[in-house]
Amino acid sequence: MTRYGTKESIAAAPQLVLYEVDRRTGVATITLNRPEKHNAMSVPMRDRIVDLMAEAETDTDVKVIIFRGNGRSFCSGNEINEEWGQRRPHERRRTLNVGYRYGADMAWGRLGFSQAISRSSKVTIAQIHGYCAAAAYFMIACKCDVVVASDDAKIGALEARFLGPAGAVASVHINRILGTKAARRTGFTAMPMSGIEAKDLGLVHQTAAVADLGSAAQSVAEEIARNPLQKLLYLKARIKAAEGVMDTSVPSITGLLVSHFLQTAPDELDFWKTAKEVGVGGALDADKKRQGAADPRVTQPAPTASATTTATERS
Amino acid sequence: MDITIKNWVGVIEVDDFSPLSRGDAAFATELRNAVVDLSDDDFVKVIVLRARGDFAPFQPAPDPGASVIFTEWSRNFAGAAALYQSMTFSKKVILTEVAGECAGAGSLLVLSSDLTVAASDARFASPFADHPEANFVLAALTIRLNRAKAWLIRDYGIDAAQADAFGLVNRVVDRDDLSTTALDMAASAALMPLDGVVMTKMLQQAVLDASGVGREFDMASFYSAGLLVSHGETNE
Repeated sequence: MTRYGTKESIAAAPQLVLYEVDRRTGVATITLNRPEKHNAMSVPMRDRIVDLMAEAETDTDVKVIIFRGNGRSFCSGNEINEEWGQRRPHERRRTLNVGYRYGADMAWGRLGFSQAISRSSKVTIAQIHGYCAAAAYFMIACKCDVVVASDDAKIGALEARFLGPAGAVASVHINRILGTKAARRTGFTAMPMSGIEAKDLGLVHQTAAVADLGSAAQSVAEEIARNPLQKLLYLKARIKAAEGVMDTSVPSITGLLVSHFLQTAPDELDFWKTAKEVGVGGALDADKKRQGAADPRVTQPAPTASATTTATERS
Repeated sequence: MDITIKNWVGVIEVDDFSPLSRGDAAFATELRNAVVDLSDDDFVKVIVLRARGDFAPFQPAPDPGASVIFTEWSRNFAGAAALYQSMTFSKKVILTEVAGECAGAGSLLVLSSDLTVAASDARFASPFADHPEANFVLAALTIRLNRAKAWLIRDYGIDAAQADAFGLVNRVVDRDDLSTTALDMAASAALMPLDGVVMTKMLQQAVLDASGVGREFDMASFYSAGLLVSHGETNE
């Protein structure tokens, strides 16, 4: 099967996605190790996750798989400005075949890394701190069985600001996890949830101070892994079957694919141009200058009574 | 099993519901018949399930025999006419009144009912590890998907306060006030017009089935077979 990516990015993937199995406890750990990019995932990194999930699937010593990230964040999502071998990179957002390959085959479709996680027969745990954005949110965190997060994690569809909100809003899965109002809020505002808010909404099972997060996730993983493998396989089979009848196993985010082909307004095209030059963070900084543009990295404070403009004042 | 009807509310009272957890088919059938009869009763709008003690103390769940999974076991515990579907798709409002331990099949009764009032000492065990007839879709719809997953995988007990926060129960009260509060809630529902209750429950069937509840019940025999396999492998 063709593997996409540059020669360098393919060669780097094993160092950017680390894998470790503790055969005593039955807990495997997949660590995203690209801290200087908030662990943004390149195409070869996602391919490596697919390979590691397949390896864990047949490893009878592995009962539970933890996803974690090195550095300041769990993961900021997919790499935005990556040259992964597309024939016409400057036109990839307009080319359906390339878009399908990138969006579906490599990300959330049957061949993508997201379904490698959601369809795993082993128990999966997401250990989240810092940013858990975009693909990390709906393709890892929302696909794992158990989510353990730091209290102050920033979780959500931050990409909605520039890719559109479809991935967060038009997903049966996320609507079942968060409830419909919260799913729409995360998409239509692109504002992140804290770990505590995500727990209140039902995405996160347990929170901890960031310093204690690793031990908290490990403790949950080891407790689960003390069960016989066959019991866990049975329970996972039950979940997968039930998700099949609920239609949550199939990522209903065709809208995300559409998002890749949206005809963007000229000022939005500036975002992509800036992002290509100075990165997504720099593009967001520049974008704040646009009227009405919100920075999805900043949690908006609730409006106070004095700050609220009344209908009378507006008129 | 005592059954009383007063002011549009039918009450089914037993010592506890743990016989369901140990696979007592006669008990399941008797309870199912009581639910169906009250559903058919023109003078009942609300059915209350009440235990005299803890709602469902833990009982080990025996594996169904392999030869009867797709026949008797399914008919008694998982099929369209069995207890849990008779409750989930009842024509009347069903209210569970839960105090103390709610293990195994007790949590299935809660998931299959419309309303639940719990005592502050109630604790809801996950039914999924031992009960293939437990409907995960109902759990996901009730407490949301990831909470249901964690409940299933960690196999832990949800206390009354958590159950309240998760939406598994409607109210939590002191145990001494449980029956009074449950009957008050039942009385509120009984104020609805009879045809309004029945029509609502008919419409609710379509909503639940569109969400996969019926299909999940249909999977129970396969889950049962899978459970047998997993136990066989574990015991080797």
